[in-house]
Amino acid sequence: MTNQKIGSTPLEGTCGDLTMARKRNRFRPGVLGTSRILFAAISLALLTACGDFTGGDDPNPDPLAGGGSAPSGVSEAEQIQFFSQTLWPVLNGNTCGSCHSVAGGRPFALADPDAALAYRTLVNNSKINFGSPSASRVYVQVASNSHNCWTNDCQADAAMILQQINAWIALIETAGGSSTGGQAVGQQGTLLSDQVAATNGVEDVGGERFDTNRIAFWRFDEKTGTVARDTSGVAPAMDITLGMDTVFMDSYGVDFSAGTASASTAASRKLYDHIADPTFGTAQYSIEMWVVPANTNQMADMFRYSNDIRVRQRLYQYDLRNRSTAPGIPAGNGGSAQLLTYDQDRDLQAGMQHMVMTYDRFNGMRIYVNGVSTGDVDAFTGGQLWNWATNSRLTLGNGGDTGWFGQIRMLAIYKAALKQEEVLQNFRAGVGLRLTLSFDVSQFAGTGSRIEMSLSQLDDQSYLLCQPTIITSNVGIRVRGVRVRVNGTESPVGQAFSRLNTVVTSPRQQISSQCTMVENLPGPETFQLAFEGLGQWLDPVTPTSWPPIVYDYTGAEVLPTNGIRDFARVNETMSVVTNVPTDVATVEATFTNVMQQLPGAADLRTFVSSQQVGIAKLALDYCSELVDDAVERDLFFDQGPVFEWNAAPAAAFLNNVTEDKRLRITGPLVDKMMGVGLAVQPDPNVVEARLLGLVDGLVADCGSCDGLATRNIVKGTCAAMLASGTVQMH
Amino acid sequence: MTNKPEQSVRGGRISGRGRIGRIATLVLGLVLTTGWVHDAFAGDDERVKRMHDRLVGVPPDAARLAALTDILNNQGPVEAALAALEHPVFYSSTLKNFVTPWTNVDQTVYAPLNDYTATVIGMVRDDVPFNTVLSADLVYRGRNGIVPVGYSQTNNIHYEQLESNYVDLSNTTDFIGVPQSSLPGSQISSGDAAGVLTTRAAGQAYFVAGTNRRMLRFTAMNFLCRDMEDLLDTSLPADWIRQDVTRSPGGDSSIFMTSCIGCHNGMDPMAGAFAYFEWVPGPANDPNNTGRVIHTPGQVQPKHLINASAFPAGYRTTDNRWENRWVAGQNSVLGWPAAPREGFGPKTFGQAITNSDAFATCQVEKVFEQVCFRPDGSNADRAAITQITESFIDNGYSLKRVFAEVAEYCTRPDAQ
Repeated sequence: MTNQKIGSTPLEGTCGDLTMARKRNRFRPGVLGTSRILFAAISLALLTACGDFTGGDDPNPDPLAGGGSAPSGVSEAEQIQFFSQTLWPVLNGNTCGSCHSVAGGRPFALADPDAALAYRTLVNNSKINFGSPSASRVYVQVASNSHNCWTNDCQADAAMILQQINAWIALIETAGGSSTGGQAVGQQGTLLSDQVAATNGVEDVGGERFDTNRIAFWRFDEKTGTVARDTSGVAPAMDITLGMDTVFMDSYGVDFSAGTASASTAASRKLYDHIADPTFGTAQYSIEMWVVPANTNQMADMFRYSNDIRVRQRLYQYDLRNRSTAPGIPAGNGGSAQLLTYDQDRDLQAGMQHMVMTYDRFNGMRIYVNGVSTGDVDAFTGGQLWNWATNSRLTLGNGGDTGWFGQIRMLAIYKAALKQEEVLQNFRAGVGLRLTLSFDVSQFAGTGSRIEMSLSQLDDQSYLLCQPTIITSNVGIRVRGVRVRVNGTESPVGQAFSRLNTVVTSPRQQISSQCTMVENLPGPETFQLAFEGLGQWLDPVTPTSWPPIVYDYTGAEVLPTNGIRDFARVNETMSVVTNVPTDVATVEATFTNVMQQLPGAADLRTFVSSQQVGIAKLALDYCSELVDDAVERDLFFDQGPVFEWNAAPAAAFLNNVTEDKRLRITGPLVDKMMGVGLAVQPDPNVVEARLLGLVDGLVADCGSCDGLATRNIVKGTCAAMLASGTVQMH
Repeated sequence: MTNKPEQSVRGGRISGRGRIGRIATLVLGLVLTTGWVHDAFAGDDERVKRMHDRLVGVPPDAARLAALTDILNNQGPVEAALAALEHPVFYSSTLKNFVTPWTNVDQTVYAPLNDYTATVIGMVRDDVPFNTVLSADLVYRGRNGIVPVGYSQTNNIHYEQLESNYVDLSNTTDFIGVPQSSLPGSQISSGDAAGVLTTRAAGQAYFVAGTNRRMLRFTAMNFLCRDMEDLLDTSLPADWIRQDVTRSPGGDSSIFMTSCIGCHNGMDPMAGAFAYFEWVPGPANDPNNTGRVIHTPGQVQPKHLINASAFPAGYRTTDNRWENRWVAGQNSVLGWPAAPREGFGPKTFGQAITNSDAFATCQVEKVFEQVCFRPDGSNADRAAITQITESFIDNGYSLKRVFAEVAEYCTRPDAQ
């Protein structure tokens, strides 16, 4: 097969010269062997009927030239072969096969001697993540969970698995043509799908809803006007008229801002007739809503059928009320809560929820949130509904000062109590308009290649684009870094598919189970996908470089450079300078009592007088222990002339022209608590003068005191020094 | 008063209203008027006293002051500061109260010693490289028999007794480091142990209830010096935000797009590391708080999967894989290491945190504020922090040396 022959295929004209010029870059003989080239060429000729695949490199490829395709796909036989060359020997050759094989009998025969079986087991059960190899279950089990490692080094075993997964992927990619490195697409930001308008989407009606016994149904899809149509088909139609502060949403639903919407009394009679009428009523019913409470701070009605049925929000709780003949039920049913969901469960959230309330005589009320029963039990069962009023009226929302804020996106009423599986079915069916958009990527991924996504409107601010699925005949290509553009603009926020990096291994493959959010812009929208990599083409996003952190101290507050000792330091310091241990019972007890009264941090600006009181209190205890201990006080005070501890104050603190006995106390206090000769401390003479003044005052107050008073004066003087800033600031 | 029995002044009571008032006046007077007379030209003695005060929290006695001054003169201020750090009160008081706020949600300093605090104290004392604080298979405890109750997975009594019995934490015989994985009843293997992240105290504070995101937030606060508001970056992809985060809070998805996403896009991928951890509390009102951390390798804790219906198309946790998304975007300036940037479990997660530039800087900033009594407030302060950070890394992540170097800076005559 020559170049000329391929180029002369009958369908040559569908591609054109520019296309062929681009395709000449796809295969480089230096990279792929001749047989591979021939295989690819033949395959592509059959698939796309396009021409020359063997030409040399084009230094200026033009990927936007149109047409063309990626090279051939990878058959299952080839994939099994690649698997056999890489991962399979590791799995089968070690202990995995002992269990994970047909002979081993355990689930998932991913290490079976039959490589084909092992391959299918791995792939069909999602044990391999081609996009993020380190997330592959077969790797995680060993790396993270130390699952039956075959050596003593699980990390080494896991690394071997990961290495072989990567080797396997490389073989697939090489065969698929998107070999490592790929081909730059050229101008940045041009690896794009076509643009798709929302109006071109195909409506997805969603999963099938359970609608047996449905007697009223509102989709709220009107978008404009003031009347929401009951589309149940059960006459009479219970159309709902929107009042003030209620509007239709673009994304289907009604938005309530403390407003109400209601049906006429005449139309509302339908509910009574089908449910409560003593002759024809079913005596059971269900209310199904997709509801979005705006917050969890409100207590108001969301749904009300006069006083016969009420569905209320009570902060995080649903508050349900049903009028019946059951004994003990709160009077009139308009007052007290009858079934309140458990508060700790916080079943009601300020987000979109599917809520179903059911009633039947035997179970009373039940409530399901997002398809699951909350487990709350109605204490009032066995009642008939014969006491319902015949003129009750359906009202949604709650007006006035206690109005309800939120959205109701759908409402259905049934004349039967839905069963769990029926509730779940309707939850799964979803709500709102959903479209399937199909993005053509054939320009880069091969003829017929496209990516489908489900489009729905999350609320009036955003769309959801969900579960992207690629449809292509070119198995083996890689899809990397998908970002959504709306009206040609790419939002930097969200972009849940931007880290997508996967190898396509089947012709129709969902490449993410997630959704990404995009902004709902005014006016009609068109959507487009941008890629960092698609097939062999690359269009990487240049990471934004961020400047280093800049510290600006302009105008910085000048802060104190000294601090007050914190509670622990106060205690330790007092202990150190008095030599009274911290574990002496009295000081320990006082410290425990005043600990949180003492400073909690060093910041002088936070110092308050109550902290000083706590410090003084503790200081008094330390000084008491010091003075009351004859040995310790001698060590502290009596290193010079001995103080007369048992003399009356006037004698002990005698101060005359020949001697000043006061200094025997104040001298050691200043020297030992403040330190000697430290220029950073206050002038010791000033401090000592203060202490002497204190002593003099106390002695003068004392009159005819004895030695007890003398020791107390020493304790007080000691505490004054110990609790002072000269000691407690640092 | 001669006939009165001796009156106690314990508990702050002293007889005579006038005397109390006089003493109180003097105390306050000394605080307000003579509290501190700083001499900008203070000498070595003054500098050593100030270092000792700042580092240890208590003043040195005359002998110690002389000895440290001698070291300062002969070996330099950093060596003098290192010598000051040998004081037991540095460990029992300064370090204990430095670390305690990291170990509880209220960030209170008024909490008893626990295994988290003890481990940091021990690592500093023994100069264990501090960049292993979130990854080492290590916990510090008292030696066997030092206090009546030994280490327990289900209470904190051992550590409370170490504290109440005034066990000397500077004593390398009485207070020792052992592998977490070797503790009785441990569910943590050596490969899972992640330093203080997997201590009982951390579990009690950050794995209790919730969704384990709290562990990530407080790790960032304590070791990167950044709360989630600081890390908020709406530009990162949303694919790893769990199912329990509603994308349309109150029916308004713009709130999610401008606010919620900015934290969750980085937090949820990181918090995956804790998928196998849970705190199981003891009985209500149990005075000994007998709860414990459980670790279930291979089994994701239900808390990581709760409220999945809030957004079913969100991320569903299947294992303890984590990924650092902050390597891109504005938080890339935090200087993340080249590896690990993803992994399984808290050990590799901890390595990613502690080998970042932000971690090293944060430790120095915390010490700076502790020792200097203020945060950095000038270009000179920042230059010092940068220099000390480099030294921290160069010296094997010795946090003890950081204390010394910061003290050297803050007690310079020209740095006050």
